[in-house]
Amino acid sequence: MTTLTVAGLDAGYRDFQALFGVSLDLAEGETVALIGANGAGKSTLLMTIAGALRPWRGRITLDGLDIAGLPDHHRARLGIAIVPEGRRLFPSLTAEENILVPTTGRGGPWSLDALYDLFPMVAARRSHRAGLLSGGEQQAVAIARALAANPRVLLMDEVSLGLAPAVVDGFYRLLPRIQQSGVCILLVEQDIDRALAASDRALCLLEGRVVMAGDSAGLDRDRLISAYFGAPSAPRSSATKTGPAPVPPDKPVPPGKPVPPGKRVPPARPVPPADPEVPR
Amino acid sequence: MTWLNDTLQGIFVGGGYALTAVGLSLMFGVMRLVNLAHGDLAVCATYLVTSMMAALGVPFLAALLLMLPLAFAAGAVLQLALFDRALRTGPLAPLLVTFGLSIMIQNLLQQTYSANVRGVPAGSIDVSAAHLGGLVLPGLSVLKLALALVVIGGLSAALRFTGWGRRVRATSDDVAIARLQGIRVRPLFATVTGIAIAAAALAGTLGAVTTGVYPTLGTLTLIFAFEAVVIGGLGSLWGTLLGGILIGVTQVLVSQVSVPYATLASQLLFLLVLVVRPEGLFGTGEAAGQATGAEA
Repeated sequence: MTTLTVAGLDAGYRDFQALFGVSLDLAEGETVALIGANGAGKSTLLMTIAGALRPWRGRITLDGLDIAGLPDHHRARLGIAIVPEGRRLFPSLTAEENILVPTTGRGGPWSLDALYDLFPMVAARRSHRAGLLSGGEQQAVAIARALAANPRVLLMDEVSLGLAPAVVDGFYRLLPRIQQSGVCILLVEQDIDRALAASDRALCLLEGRVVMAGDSAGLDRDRLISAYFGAPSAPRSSATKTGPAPVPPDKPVPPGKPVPPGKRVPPARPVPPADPEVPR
Repeated sequence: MTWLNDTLQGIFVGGGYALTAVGLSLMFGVMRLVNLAHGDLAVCATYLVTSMMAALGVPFLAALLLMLPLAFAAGAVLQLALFDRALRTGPLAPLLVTFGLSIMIQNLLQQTYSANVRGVPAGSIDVSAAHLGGLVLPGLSVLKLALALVVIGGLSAALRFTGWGRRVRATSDDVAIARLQGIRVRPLFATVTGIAIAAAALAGTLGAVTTGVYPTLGTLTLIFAFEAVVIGGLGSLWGTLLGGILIGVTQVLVSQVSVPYATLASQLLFLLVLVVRPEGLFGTGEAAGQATGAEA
């Protein structure tokens, strides 16, 4: 049973188109990893699904209901929750108040007690202002806040951003408990190995297009890395065959997130050949 | 003893200023919206009360209580129909829209009620007073200060402890993320503006019992309220109470020496605070920074 379907999605910011005909689906209880370089459109895709950005074209359905035209607060009530990039807690609220903010009217397993059981470190700091917590604590509050809405679909944007590897390991060890609650997860992660290990399937985005997709266990790692960097040998999407020449997405890189040389999105290239690995 | 009594009267006067200013403070704190029509809306409510008393033959307090839900509704409708749109188009639009609203209200009131000063007959509470040693406790002034304490205390508690308050504070921190948590921002802002306008209407009407009401009174009301907010610190409700009281005490004390200098003295106090502590007495500097950031 498909929970979330995205079909032929175009989206972007003002003049800049960041997503070109992106399609994906998430089955009940499934975790899909979204892999791609900075500026590939991963965060744009998540924010468009959550409703913070209006899609230019394409369909987004949740349990068969077309939600592409619904406002963001309505989508939250239907069961879409996001852990935004950079956490974006409400800094003047305490940790507990942050978790109590979601007003979706949805019941489910994630009561305050259940969330404190999942994140004991948040329970210990519940009455501290979110703006004064450490990065790891803030990330835990951000995940707890998203789960508190008891979502059908959880969008997780770079949970590991700016955190110590040991802290990130802790979050990924908790992921199975979150998955067991029946939520399906769309996971953005820069670390390819971590992303593949944590997911059932993986998609690779390059310049706003899905260039590779498949079961996480069966994906050829070298081909995935080629797709990630957009190397000339990489197979590319057929989505561009009839479309305009690819436009490099111009999303500004957030501060504190250095782009390693070679990870930069390369400029426009000729129309690539069809890729048999992309589901049509 | 005279000085003590003067200070007490100043605190009472300041309570009235604070009750007017609390809505201004709330709207700025939550939405970064400076409502230049705040005083004029309070004056509208005062005229409404006098009209209701004349048309329905009800006493002052009954008309006052009838007016409050109407003031709340007017605030909510203004927010939904006008201020929301203005806020979406940038920081300059709300200033222009509320300034235009202020001019329209003043002229409409002049057309309807003439420019003459009109008394607000409040009956016995206007003249009632208790005496405690050498101190005078005028009934109306005590009522205004008590209402200021109740409104500011109640609002602070509601913001701190209720789900509504949590949503208001979250939205004030980050509107975009608040929406993604399922918060419907437009109705939430409508309740905030409704409360702000109702409090101003209450304060303006009680104040007009002493001073009378005229169409351009709102400008003066706005200036004192604005100064109370800035002296107390932008976005701090208790700071606004303190700011109002400081203005009131300054005015009453100086007026014992020279009445014409009373208003000047409160303006000088305002300027002094701006020089010495521009973020206001209770301001964190954060709200002021956000305000200038929003205007940049």
